[in-house]
Amino acid sequence: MTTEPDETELDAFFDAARRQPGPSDDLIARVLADADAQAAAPAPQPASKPTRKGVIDALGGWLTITGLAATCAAGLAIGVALPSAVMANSDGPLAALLGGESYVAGFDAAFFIQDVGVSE
Amino acid sequence: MPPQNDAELDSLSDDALMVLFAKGDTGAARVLTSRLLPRTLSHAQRVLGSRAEAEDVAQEAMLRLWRVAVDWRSDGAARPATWLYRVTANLAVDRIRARARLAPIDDAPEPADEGQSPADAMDDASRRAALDAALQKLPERQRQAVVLRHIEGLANPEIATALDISVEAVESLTARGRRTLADLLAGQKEALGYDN
Repeated sequence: MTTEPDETELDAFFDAARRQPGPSDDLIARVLADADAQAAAPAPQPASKPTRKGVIDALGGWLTITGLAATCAAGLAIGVALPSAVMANSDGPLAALLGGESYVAGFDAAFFIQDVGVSE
Repeated sequence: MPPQNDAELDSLSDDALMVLFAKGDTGAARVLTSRLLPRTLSHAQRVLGSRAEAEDVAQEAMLRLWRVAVDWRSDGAARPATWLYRVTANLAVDRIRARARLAPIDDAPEPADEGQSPADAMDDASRRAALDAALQKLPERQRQAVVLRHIEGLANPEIATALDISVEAVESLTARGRRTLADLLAGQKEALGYDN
C-alpha cells in the first residue's frame, strides 16, 4: 500500500529552492554584454521578393523578351502546322519560301531517296 | 522611438520589452534580464544540480532570447518567459547528455543571500543540496516537470507548452516525481535541522 507523500516536508525543500540567491553580478554583466552586442549588430536584411521588373531585367529587358516570345511562337506554329508540308508537299508555303522548289529536293536526302528507289 | 526610462519600462509587458529591445533599446534588456534571468538560472540549477553549469545555460538561453527578439511578435502565442523555460529545458537536456563525454567541472559556490541570517542561509543551502541530490535521481522529464510546477510555480498548461507535452502528461509526471521525491527525502528532517 502506498502512502501519500508528506507534502509539508516537501514544500519546505521547495521553499528553500525558491529562496535561492539570485544571479551573481558577474552573470548579469555577461548577459547584458551579450544584449549590448546583439543590439549593436546590424539587423539582418529581409530577403527581398522577386519583382516583375527584376525578372524582366534578368531576362534582358522587354526587347529580348518580345523577340524570344515571337521566336517561340513561330517555332511552335511551324511545328504544329507544317510537318507534312515540309516533308512531302512541294507546293506548300515553305516550298514557296525556298523559291518554288520542293523542300526535300533542296537537300541531299532527296538524292538518297532516289538512290534507294523510293518513288513519290 | 526614443529609449524610455526604467520606470516606464518596468510597467511594460515582456512582449513589449522584446519589441523595444529589437529596436535597439538596451534599457529593455536590463528590465528583461532582471525579470527573467533569476527564474532561468533557478530552473537550470535545479535541473542540472550545478551552479556553474546553470550559469552557462542561463547565459546561453538569454543570448538566444536577444537573438530572437528581432523576429518576436508581440501578438504571438508564446510569452518570453515560457519561451525561455523551453529553451532552458532543452539546453539542460543537452548538458545532461553531454556529461558522459565531458570531464566533471568544479562547481561554483552559491552566492550568499544577504537577507538571511548565516544559520538560516546554511539551513536553506542544506535543503537545496538535499533537494538537488534527490532531483538528480528522477528521470529527466519528471525532474523538469517537478521543477517548473513546484519551484517555478508554472501552471500545468504552461509547463505543457514549455516541455512540448500534453497537460495530462504534465500531471502524471509531477505526481510521480513528487511521490518519488517524498520517498527520497523522507527522514531528512532531523538531518537537515528543522522541526516542523
